[in-house]
Amino acid sequence: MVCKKEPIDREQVIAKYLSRSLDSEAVEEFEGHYLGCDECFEELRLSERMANDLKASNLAWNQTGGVSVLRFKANAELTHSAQDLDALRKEVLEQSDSRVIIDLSRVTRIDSAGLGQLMSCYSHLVKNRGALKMMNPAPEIKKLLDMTGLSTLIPTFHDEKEAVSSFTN
Amino acid sequence: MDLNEPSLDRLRLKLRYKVLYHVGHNCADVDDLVQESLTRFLRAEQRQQIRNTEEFGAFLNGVCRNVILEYRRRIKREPTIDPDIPIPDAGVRPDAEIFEMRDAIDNGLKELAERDRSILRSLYLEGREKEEICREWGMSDAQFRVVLFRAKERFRRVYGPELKRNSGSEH
Repeated sequence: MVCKKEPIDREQVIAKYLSRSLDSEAVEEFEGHYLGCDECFEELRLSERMANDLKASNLAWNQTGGVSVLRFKANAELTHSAQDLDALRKEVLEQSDSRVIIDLSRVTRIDSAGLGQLMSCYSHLVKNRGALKMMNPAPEIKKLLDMTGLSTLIPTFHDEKEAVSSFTN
Repeated sequence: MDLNEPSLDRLRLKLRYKVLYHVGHNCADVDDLVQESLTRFLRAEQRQQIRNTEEFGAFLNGVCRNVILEYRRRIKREPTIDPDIPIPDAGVRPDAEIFEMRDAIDNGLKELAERDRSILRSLYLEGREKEEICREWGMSDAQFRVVLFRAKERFRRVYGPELKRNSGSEH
């Protein structure tokens, strides 16, 4: 039983559960345990928040001309298994500004999950009477956005000035 | 088994966590899956089908797993692509609350040394083994424990009250 273990071993189980690196049998065992154990569930939620904040620390917001610009501080991947994807979704969906530009300059890879998540962000912002735009994609990312037609739905610009002024035009 | 209203709310919160883990945030049927799991569990409890009430978590987990499996099979059989299905909203928190929280988190993260941040990233985000991390950073078990629990305590101070208030819309 996980809470009978050394705290550090329990933390290892939690960390692996959160990063989805536990095998299915261990997932079953841990879930069966925390459904009946308040203490382990609280530790799990706390660790999840901590992990999310570590992920989000790769993201930074700044305001330019009344528009919120979201940037990655280090290289990021928007792929199914990447932590940055979840952080991006949370950042965009949990904030209240509805005019957002995502700076893709540090995004090195996007897959279908990443494209889907950008679509979710777009739908969320449009639903809140705002708009999503993107800027500075690397050539290979730009090619993918064009190929999938996403760049026709979410306008994509070469620089920040152009992207910000598009909100007023 | 004492299943009063607060303990049912607690079970609902935990089930929601599990369901979200398996079906993802974009699933519009999360609440239905949680409710179905809870209903089946309560029915079994009323019929005294739970043999070992001490370990009801494992029983509830099995019920919820079946509900998710049945849901996946149904979705596979009848894929529903309805453009009118709303994308679940994460809920927008008031600005002041977000900024206050971000400040607290930023301060918390700033207080951590770069090495500590890297260690926590390796553990929580990359799912690496404790032994491997200790080897990489040339640290003992005890030092690893200090890094881990010092960071967690810091987050507990920031998030403890919020997690108690929050009925679990996040995950």
